[in-house]
Amino acid sequence: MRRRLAGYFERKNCWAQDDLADETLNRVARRLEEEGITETEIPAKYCYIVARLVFLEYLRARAKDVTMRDEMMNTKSDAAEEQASRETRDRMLACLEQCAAKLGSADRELILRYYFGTERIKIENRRALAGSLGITINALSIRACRLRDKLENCMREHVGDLK
Amino acid sequence: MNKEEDTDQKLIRYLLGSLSEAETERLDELSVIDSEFAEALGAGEKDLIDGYVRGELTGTVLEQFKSRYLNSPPRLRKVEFAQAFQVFLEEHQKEALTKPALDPAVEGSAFRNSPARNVLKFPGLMAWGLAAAAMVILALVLSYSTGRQPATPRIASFVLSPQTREAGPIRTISVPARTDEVKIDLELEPNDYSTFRVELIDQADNQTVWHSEELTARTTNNVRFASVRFPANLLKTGAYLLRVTGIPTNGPSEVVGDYPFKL
Repeated sequence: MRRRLAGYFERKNCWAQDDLADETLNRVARRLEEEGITETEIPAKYCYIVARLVFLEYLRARAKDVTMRDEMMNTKSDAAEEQASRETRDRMLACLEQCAAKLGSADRELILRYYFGTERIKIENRRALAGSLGITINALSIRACRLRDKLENCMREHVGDLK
Repeated sequence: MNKEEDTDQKLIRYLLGSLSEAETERLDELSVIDSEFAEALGAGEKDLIDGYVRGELTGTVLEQFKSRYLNSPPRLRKVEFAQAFQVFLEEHQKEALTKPALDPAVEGSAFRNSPARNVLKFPGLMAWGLAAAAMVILALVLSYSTGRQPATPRIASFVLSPQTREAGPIRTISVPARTDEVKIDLELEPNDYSTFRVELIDQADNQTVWHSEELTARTTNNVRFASVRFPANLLKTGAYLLRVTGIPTNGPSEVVGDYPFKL
């Protein structure tokens, strides 16, 4: 649920999407406690309602906070410059190599094969890969996406350590 | 455009922030309450980003991606990662693809096409096959841009005769490097079937590494052929067999020909 909430806030162009997701879950937990409800699973619909409220509050705060607006404008150009930085990319690639080396050989091979090819070939390749593994395309996609997320998170930790 | 394509176009527009407010809110809610929709959205988003990084987006989609998607630091970071990831893939894919194919997770199920799961839980929406939706997004993004022609795949073509007819050593084929697809025309022995299925079997371990959908034969100069196309990266050095099975309208199917070859 936390990931889904963070994804929601990110699509809304909120900066601190993880913090906003935590705020949402905290409010939901508090409300459930107040109501005396013990839930083993957080009611998803209620989470969305609270998330929407948190988002609207964020928008109002952002409108008032000149500093935040200016930072956003500057950050866009800063990020564009950073994106162009070859040094950053080389560092990321080195960290990515280290992270990929930590994957099991089957996982590493899966992700290399999953992202092979372009356009229609990529689609056909994924079907063939799922068939050769004896799993559905759904399961293959989930597995590949989670591996990619794992690589990305690992790479960011490494890059953060290098800075 | 059929209903499914229309729904998937909607998903792309959602990712690019160009849906109506009402539709956006509907999918916002679904992305939070439905974990499978959220997974499909994540997979589709990754494919969209990769499309941008590889220079495959053009026209309206590219403009919208640049103006609406790239306007937040978290998304810029995703694109940064995708760029590094693309370089990593290009450096390592060749090495991975020369290895034998991954082992099937379950013996005997390698060629079973499982139907896409129905993930619809939200009334009023079509069923989302999780990765089917993501893959259609990929195909749609790549065909959505105006005026862009799809790249022509590099195809290596061969003709094989059935084992009973060919005497002597097994046919050896050579697939050039950077071939995208292999096309093989299988000369059929006379039979009464009009519909067939073809399996590609790795003779090293007798595992099926690919199979066709149901296909019909074509006739050229009074000879019937069943034609198949599959990704070239399925083939490694070794011996393979293409097995043709005739599918009747009623009753059990029957193997009508084996076509061994070596790479």
